Amino acid sequence: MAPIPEDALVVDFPAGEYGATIVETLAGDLATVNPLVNESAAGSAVIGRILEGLVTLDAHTGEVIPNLAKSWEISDDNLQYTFHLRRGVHWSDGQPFTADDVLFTWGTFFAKQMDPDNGEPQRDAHGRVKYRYTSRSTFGQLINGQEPLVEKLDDYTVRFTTPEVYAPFLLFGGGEEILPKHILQSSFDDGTLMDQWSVETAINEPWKIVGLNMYVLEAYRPGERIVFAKNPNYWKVNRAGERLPYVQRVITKIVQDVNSSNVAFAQGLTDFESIAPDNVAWVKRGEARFDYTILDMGPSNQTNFIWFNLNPGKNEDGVPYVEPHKFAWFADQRFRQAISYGINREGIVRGVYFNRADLLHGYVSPKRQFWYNDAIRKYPYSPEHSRALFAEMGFSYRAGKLHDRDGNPVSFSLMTNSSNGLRVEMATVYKENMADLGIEVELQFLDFNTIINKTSDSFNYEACMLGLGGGAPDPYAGKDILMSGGRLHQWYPQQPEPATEWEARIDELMRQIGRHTDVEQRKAYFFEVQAIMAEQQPLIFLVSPKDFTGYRNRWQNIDPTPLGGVTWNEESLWAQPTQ
Amino acid sequence: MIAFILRRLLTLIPLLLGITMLVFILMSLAPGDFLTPVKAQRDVPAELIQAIETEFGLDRPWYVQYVKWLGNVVQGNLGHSWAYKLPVVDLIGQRLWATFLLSLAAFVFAWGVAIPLGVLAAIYKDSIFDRIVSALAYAALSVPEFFLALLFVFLAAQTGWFPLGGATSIEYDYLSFAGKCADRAYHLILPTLALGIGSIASIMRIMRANFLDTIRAEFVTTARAKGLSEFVVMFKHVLRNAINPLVSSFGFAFSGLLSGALMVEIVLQYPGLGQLMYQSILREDQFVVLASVMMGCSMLVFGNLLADVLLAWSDPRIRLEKKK
Amino acid sequence: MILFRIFREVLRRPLGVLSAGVLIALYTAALLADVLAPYATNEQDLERTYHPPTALVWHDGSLQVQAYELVDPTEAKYAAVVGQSYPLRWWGQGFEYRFLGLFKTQRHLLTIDGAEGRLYLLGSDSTGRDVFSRLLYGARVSLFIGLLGITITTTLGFLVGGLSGYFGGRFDFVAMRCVEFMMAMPGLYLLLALRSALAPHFESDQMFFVIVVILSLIGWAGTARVLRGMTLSIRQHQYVMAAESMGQSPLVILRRHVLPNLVSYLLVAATLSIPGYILGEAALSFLGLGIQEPSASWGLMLSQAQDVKVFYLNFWWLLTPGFAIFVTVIAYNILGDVLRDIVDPKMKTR
Repeated sequence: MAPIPEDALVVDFPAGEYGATIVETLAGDLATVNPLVNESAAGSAVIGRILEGLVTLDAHTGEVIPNLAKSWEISDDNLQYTFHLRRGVHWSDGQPFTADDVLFTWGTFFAKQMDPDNGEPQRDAHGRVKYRYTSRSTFGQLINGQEPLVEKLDDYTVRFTTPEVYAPFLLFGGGEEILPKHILQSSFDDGTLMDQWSVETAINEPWKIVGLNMYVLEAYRPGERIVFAKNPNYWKVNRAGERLPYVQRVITKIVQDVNSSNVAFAQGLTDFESIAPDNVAWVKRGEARFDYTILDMGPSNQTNFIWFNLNPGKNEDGVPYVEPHKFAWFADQRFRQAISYGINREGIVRGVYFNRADLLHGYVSPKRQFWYNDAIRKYPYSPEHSRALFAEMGFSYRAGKLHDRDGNPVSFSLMTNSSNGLRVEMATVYKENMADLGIEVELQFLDFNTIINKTSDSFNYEACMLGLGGGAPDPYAGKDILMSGGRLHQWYPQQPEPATEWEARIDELMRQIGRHTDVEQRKAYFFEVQAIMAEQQPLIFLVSPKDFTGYRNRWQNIDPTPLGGVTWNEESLWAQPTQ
Repeated sequence: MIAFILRRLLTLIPLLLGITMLVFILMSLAPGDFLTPVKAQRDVPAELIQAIETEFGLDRPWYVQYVKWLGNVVQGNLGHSWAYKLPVVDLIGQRLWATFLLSLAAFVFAWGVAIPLGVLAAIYKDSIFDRIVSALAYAALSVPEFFLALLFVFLAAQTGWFPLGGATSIEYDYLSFAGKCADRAYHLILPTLALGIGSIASIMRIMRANFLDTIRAEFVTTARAKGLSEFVVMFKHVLRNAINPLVSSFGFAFSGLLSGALMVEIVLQYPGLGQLMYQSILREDQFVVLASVMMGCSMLVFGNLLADVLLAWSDPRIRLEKKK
Repeated sequence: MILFRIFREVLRRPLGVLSAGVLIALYTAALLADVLAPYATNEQDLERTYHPPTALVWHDGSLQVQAYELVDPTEAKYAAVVGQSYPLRWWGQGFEYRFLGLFKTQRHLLTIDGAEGRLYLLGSDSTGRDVFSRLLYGARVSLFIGLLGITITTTLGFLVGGLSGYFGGRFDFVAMRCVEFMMAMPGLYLLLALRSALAPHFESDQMFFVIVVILSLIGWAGTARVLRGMTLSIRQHQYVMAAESMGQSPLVILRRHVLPNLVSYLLVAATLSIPGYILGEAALSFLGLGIQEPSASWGLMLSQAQDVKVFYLNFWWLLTPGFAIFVTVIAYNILGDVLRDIVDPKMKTR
């Protein structure tokens, strides 16, 4: 066990007792523990317990605060960020943490595939550089297509230089999880980096997964449980100088879905839980008997939306992804608006979510009060508006069914994931709403992976209903979705060039948001982005479930905030050890 | 005896081959191949995909694939699961054991309750007891297994006496050996009941019918004439003979158990082979589907074999029957 | 002729009358679903999701439907509004449909006066659809799949079993190995595998027939074996041998001599097999692999009852399709037993 760092972070909470165990559930299973590979929420939850970044967010104010970096300076031209790392911090295996690790981490993102003949980086068909280890971070950290420069000034100082002014860099760049150089350097060199920290490693050699966060992986049994043990070298201490966390162990049981998870909590079996809105009523009943508390944390970040496939390309057999006459409907803004008017969101909130959800009019959920533009165009439920728009498009009704100008009956298929019960119900309501407009919708309930395959690979679909959760508070966090070249630009991902004028406008606005540091300026741009999205409806937003969190009363030092939830200060949480 | 077993084993092999070939053909009817879901994942190294393609001959026609797959199976390589990122063999091991345990428990429970019930119902034929038991048996036979399981979940939720699912508790790893056994047993209660009740009904009715038939047989009159007590007559002679035909339906009962276990596992979220197969079908995890079906069929076939061995042991006439 | 005699015998026994009566009532209800159902299958009402069954009260000298209001939207809790109710109307106006596919009408057996009220005899589901109506429409799927499947199975089973029993020899050997083979597979596993193989090639509204085909393909083996045994014994009879020596073709012999003797057994076997189909379809739909939303089928309705909040908030009416299945299956089982007793008292159950 390494000594307490000289720059240890002193956390301001009353001291507590050591030795308790956190028991919780996780819906979904691990696919990998390698952050460069991981795409799933379950994986992020696990990796997030083991690794940490240079900065983090204050749970009360939402501002960027020091984490592994104890301080930083930003140059006057806003291009250079100099981070001062905490001294004396050690990895969970006892090796010292230095600037070398930061450099190594960023090196993995931007390592290029070199041509062995001429020593130049290889390029792909579009002339873009080929990276050795492509990950979300590789593309996520590019600033307008260019890499930031990372330099080591000394063992505890790192300087980043961005190619242009990039406002969110402090949060996005500084928040990047740091990887241990001494563990992963060899696999980086011989090309096996992506194979490291796989499920096999987690099962057989968990000690190889080394991090700086408060836990290490102790054991993993697929489909059953993940066990974390306390990191003996964690760098935070309490006011008395004692090393944190108090918690000895975290046992995470893997369950099927959110419902099983909620049930386990309601029976007093787990410590912390996010309660689904339709379950809050009955879970609350057990508060006295099982000694837990349910808190209403207000609006959440979760969104639900529908979109139409606007990819004009063709598959390998030369067949267009979307039939041309249908593509003509989807591409017409009025069609999308008409569909939006025809959805009974209010009914969904009341009947499906038991009033525990918010109507979602646009891209930003009401939770983000500062960035939320309430003045955008809204679509209250009114089928008359829909019919008026259809009439404008030259559509007509025959025997109650809607037909387009060429006499084609309007119908399409909508897919969504079968594992989300509330989404299935929303889809059922949606189908009826459309039937009222004379449109026939065929529902397809598929496995989540199959859906991802179709929306990002084969493009063999017409409409889809999905949702997003989480997301950093900076508007630029949505760039993968909002910008036309983004991977998550659902209706037509990774466009080589913006397909429409409004998409080009959004691209430009997003670039400005990235470039300016003046908050009011950025807000004005972002408001315009939201207004365009609302007007064009490429994503037809539905509802956002409210956030409810439960915790067992035995835990002390609980300090709930809307931004941080209940476990933002997990290092300070303690309870009487039971077993 | 050994010869008998060997002969039966010999007939089983073509059966297993036939079943796997049938399932393989079915799998190849489904669109896409074993590798379709993989294309979306980036962490599967290209070398692994290449290796599997050659190992299982995925670019060749289905009969070549089948032969290669068979060859791999014999060597213990059942393919790779994309959903769990593990070799299928590792995955199936734990699930197989769980389903076997459940089937065994249900089997023991069903027979343990049904045989005495059937005997008593036969002995006290047409009494109130007989009528009630027969009526209940009828009812139990007619309830769909998954509905029964659903009702049990309802019960568990309302009363809180039983766990709502799973095979083990969260603290399982930290219990003593005795504690672990108790924990597993606790989680097995509801699934066993849901699965067993249907079996009880059918076994009981057959037992009762057989018993009644055997009572009328001549050797019973002889035994009574010899002066043996009623108790001995009933339980030593009649029972032994009445059970025989029941044992022959052992195999069929086992098949019903396996199918029923699938539904019960899904509703009660018991992590067994059936639940694995269902989820793999949803996720298009082809290797796992194929392996689960094969495992399920194998269990069934060996169950049948066991039944035949038991029958042969108890009834020498079968052992000595000449092969047609 | 034989069938008529059998039917008379069934009516002589109280259990026979009971079970036949129940089945006839169920099938009639399914056929007349349009008339009996107050609401259409897909009529949603998002203001009244998870509504309990509406009580019937006696008011102003007539039967009326109690009015309810939503007291707690977060729990879907409804309370009766004391003193307020809506008149129940017989043969009133409701949604439009085609009676037996013949003519359009709007008359239903039970409707409610007053647009704000709802007649929920068995409550409403997650999107406010009337469970009772869906139960009736679902009966169409669940009940008729059995009949359709049985027809296919019996035909297949008769052909294979009859022919192999009649001809014997190599045909018999091969056929019986096939039958043993089919019976050696755990049914549900095969069902799922077949379904996942065939389904992607069909549209979702053709699923009904796909399921019937799949179920039949699995079920014919047992029937074939029994029929083979019977054919074997019938073949030994004098008149059959006489017909053979007279040079009649095997198919004619099968049709004229074997079939009539088998009819009664076929009837019994069919009646006892139908429950298997009903349960098979229910299981598939329950798993989400059969009839899909938003059509109604009993299995599909039960899959919605699997939601945890249904158990904890006690929405018991969502479980009624299970009881419907139970009643249907038990009626078939009893009828089958009665028929068996009539046809051959010595025939053992399997």
